Amino acid sequence: MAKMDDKQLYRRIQEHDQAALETLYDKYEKLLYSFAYKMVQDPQSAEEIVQEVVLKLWKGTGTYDETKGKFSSWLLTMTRNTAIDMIRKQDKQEVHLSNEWEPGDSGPQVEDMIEWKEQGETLKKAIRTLKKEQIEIVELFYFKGYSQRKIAEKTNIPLGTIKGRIRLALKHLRQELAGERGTQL
Amino acid sequence: MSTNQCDRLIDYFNRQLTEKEQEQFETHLSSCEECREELMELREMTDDLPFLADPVEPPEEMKKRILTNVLKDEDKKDTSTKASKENVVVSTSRRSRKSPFIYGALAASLLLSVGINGWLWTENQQLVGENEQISSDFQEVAEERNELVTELTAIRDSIEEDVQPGTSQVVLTANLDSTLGDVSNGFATLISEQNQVQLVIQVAGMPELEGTEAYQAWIIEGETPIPAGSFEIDEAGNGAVAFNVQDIENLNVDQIAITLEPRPNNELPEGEVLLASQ
Ligand SMILES: [Zn+2]
Repeated sequence: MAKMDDKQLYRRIQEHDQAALETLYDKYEKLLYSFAYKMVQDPQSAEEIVQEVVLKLWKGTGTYDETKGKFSSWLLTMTRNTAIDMIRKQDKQEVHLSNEWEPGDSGPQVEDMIEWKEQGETLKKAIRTLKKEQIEIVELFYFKGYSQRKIAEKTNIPLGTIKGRIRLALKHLRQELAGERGTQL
Repeated sequence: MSTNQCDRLIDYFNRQLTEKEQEQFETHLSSCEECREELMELREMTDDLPFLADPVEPPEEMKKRILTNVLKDEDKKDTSTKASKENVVVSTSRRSRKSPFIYGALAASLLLSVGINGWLWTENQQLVGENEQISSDFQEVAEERNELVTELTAIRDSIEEDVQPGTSQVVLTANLDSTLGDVSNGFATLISEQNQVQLVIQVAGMPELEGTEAYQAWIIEGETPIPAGSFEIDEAGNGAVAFNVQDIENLNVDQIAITLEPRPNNELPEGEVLLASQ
């Protein structure tokens, strides 16, 4: 049977179709929750984040523009922004650096999210080739969403060079990924 | 001391700027090509990083809590602020049968026969009027639904008893679920009896019909809806239809759906799907 794609579902949600909201919720619940959980490391806060995102989706706060990329990217960016705002609010003292780059720890199978599984494995392989400092900087920048100043404090890297370090780490990651994906062909 | 705006890119990306700083930076963005490029590059380079998150099982009942909270909030808004701009586009009530939900395979033919824009326009007109009466109590609906399910199970059991072994055989049964998530509900049975195949459909909790409107059953084969009988409902919203299925050998039943049609016995569906099998 034909299923509605994300864009169709999004349009229905804009028309306040509850069934469409539920369908989209089911599709992304686990990805959004897991991503939020990785950022805040706390089940309750992660749930709050997912709820906030669903609420924004339902109320139409922020609009998805099809010309600017995939719906899932937009949804994940909204999740990250919501998580960053929560991290700021809670202003947690301790960085919980998760040691999640180990292989074989991918948790339960994700039936619907093949992309997640495939991308996740490739990404993990790639990120393990980075230096420890680079992994840390990606973690603090992307998954904690810290300010430059805070990243500088945590890593003892001069403030003025943070942006450069972030871009360098991400570029290395991209190069590794290009290699990974190249060899997969 | 003048701040070099270019140094704020990371803090902008990570939402660490005050509102005023953010505005300043956005102004800067419009004139600094380098920042625009770097920002785009950051977005591209981080686009797939969320997939690094290991799958974590959400807490029990999270879905129920979140959807209840989100939709409850909606109901509150409906009653407290009428006629705000946002409310004009509101909303599917669980009771409204005018919700623009098109189910699965019927979508294509519905779009062809009606045209989505004109259709949505009338939708909104009606919704403005309906808006006030649609804030129904979720709890009440849920209870009503449970009663109906019980009733339906009883009906279903009684059918199964009626079918005598040897002469008739149940080929297929399917629950028909409301596409609106409301109390309406149905059950479809394909019965084979002496080389004759009958589709029997029962529904409960359906919205009242107006004028020449009728409910119509459809057998969906691939993308094609095949008419399977029109019917009306009683005051309680219950109805049934039995339809002789021709050429069953060459028929693949992919789905069974109930639509609300402007008139009985349409050849192609014009109205929206209210009930459908999974
Ligand atoms: Zn700049």
